[in-house]
Amino acid sequence: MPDRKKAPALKEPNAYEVRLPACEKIELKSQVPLFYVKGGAEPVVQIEWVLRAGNIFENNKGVAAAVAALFKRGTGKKSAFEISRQFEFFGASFQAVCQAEYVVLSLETLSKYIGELLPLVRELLTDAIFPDDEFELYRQNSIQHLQVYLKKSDFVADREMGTMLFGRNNPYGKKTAIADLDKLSLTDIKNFYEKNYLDGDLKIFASGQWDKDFVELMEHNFGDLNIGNKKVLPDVETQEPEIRKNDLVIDSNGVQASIRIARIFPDKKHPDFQKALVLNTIFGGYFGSRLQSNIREDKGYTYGIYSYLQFNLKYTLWGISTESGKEVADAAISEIYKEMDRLTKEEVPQEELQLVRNYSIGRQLNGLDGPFRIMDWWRMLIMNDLDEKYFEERIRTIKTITPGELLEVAKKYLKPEDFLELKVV
Amino acid sequence: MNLELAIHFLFGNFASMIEFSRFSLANGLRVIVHEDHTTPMAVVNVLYDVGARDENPEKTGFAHMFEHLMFGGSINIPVYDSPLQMAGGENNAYTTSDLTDYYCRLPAENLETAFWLESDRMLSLAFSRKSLNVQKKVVSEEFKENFINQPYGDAWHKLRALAYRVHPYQWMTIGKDLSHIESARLQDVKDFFFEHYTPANAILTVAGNVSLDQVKSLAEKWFGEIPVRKKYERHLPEEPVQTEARFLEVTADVPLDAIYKCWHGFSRTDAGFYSMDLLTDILSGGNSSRLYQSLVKDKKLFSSISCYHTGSIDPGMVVIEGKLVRGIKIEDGDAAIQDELEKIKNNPPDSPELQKVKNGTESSLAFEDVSLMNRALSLANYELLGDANYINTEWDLYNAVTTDDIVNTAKKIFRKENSSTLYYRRKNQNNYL
Repeated sequence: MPDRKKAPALKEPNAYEVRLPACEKIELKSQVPLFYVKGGAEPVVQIEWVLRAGNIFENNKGVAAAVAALFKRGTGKKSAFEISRQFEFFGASFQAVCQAEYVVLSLETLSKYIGELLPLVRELLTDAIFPDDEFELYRQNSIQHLQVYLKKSDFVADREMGTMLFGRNNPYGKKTAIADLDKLSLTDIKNFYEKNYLDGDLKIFASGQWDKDFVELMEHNFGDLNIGNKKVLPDVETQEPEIRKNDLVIDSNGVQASIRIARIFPDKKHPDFQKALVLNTIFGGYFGSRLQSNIREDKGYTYGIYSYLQFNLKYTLWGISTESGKEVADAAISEIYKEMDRLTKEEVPQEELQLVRNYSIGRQLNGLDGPFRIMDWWRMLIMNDLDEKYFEERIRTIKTITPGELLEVAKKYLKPEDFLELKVV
Repeated sequence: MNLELAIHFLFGNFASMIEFSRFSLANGLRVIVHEDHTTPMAVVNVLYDVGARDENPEKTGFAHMFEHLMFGGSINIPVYDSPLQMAGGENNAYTTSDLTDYYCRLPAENLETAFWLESDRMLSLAFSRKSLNVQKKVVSEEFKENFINQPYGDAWHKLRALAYRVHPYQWMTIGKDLSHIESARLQDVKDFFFEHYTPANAILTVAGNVSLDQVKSLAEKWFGEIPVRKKYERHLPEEPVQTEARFLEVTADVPLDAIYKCWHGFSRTDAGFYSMDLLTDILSGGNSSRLYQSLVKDKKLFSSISCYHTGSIDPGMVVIEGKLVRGIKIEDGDAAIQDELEKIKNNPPDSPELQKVKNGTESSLAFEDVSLMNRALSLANYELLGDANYINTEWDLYNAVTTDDIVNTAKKIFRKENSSTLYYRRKNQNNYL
């Protein structure tokens, strides 16, 4: 009979050596850097082409996203149908995700088809023609998708909070309206492609399994691109917020409020960033967090509540996000501030901190499970001009940060008056 | 080269074999072990053979709410989450119409912590009144977040109720109505636990940096003493064959007209499942698929359209849902969908079109097996279907599907009298936004 009242002995996860496995780097003849992590038991591969071609580089709203959607809908040689059919015939997926700073083109395929698919990716990166009919179809359908999203309080709240924090003309704060999509111009789209894809700032990340001719294949397909142009992020200004607190109603019959409370935060190279990450875990970053324990597990105001630090390059934010019952929304907001306040007044108890250390180390270990996850880490580091020291610092901070240091960070950054507040029903 | 190596070599084109072992305890608990010594982690997954289909029609949503209560403390352990987090682990759970699954992952050295926690809540819950009261509210918020406070959020409730007259698939896992969740009593919780959360009704899967011997001894130590309890016998009403087309129309404050159509299809264990799965991919798997090319690209009737099936253990549904381009009549969109379905019955896919969806399936099966967690979940799910080894053999069943199978499946499923159609119309037809 085991003693069920007593927990089994533990190896403190905190005692683990956690190391980031190496990532290889070579430079193709085009000077495009290729980073790769080979491994895994399954015969699959993921290759990502990351271009500095996000929203921040566009002059008119919606252009960067339109290019990311349309550059795979027609080349000098192939129609949109032929392009889709070729990826799909080989069972592959090829997605383009446009973010604030860059666009990530991601190919996932069985390793045995790499040779068939790389020339197609090359064709898209060098010979997209943006056919009129595909452009019109894109414009019509993206307007209609946006109409649906504008009925969702969570979507509206995320956009509005960006605008409140960074300003409506700032790349992190601007929001694409139906009118912007109406005004999209094919000329803008083609110019953006020329400037940021054809003459782009490209890095390639590959992970998974492949044959020994992999590097040759990459060289063959991407070694002669004239694309090693270093792009500097444009300077963007933030402005003093015009509104610090806002209530919006998009649906008078809505039964929930989307609550967003956020502040601008220094970027991830700031000495406080890594410490703030640990504090964030305690505050609202995992299922046992203060916010979740209080507002979900004790009061039942919401299905979930989280706090998070965003990983933008230039400006980041520290935010809290939840959807709560309309009638308990104000009570939930007041509890959020109470939890913030408690972190600035009382040291985190040792036992809670030990739990967060162990939990976080377990997560980091799991986050290195397989080549794709390892490459996720490396891509984040490389795109931010960081190296493995940053990873080591993450682990060191988790293992050694003290309640006193956490209190200091809380006092500095978790001041309610620095946070903007938004409620959308 | 020994025989085993030779076999691996021959099949080397496809994903590697997933090796596993199986044993049972005297109380009926089935255990699957998948060793993977390339990771420092372990996954412990407990699947219970109970889902929303096992609910009382007056108390729907209960199986899912019960899943929440499984975290509210067990007989000897006041809280589930924090000891696991202290061991470097994290966990979650999900409920479907068919099953309830609890999974956690943690550093393999701390495997025993997961056995301690999982076995104690199989032994007995604490049945805390506070936990019940709080989770009723939490689940109500989950209901609102996903099904009330969303445009088209109630479409699935309506569609299921239209397609199923008798079978419990007529309600969603979240429940028919908020009032069912709000009226749950502690006695209901106890009854449900002792009826369904028995060792013989569960499958324990342990994967990662573990050994078979270690799992055997831990399973015996922690789960061996849990009483057998009575095995739940499932007697669900069979859905009668549908004999005439069903139709429903609603009007709501949504920005675009939408259409939802569904047909009764095959069960997950029917031989026809594989051609049904590939058929839905031919119709809408990606931008080269038939529905996208014809209805979005060429005719510009829909701004989005998709076809999928519910994949349930009892016969599920094949569904087509689409949003109409502003200005297009729903009736015209509906007629165009039916034209496409006639086409696939009369013009079989050519061999590259079939090969395309098979390649897509081969690829997704391989990608699914990359993560340790997915391998554990798949093994448990396949064991529930009858044999964990389907994880290694199912691809052959997909690969054997012929164009004739696709046509025959389309003919069997896409019949007017087997269909239910929901027109979801927008109010305020003249308001542009």
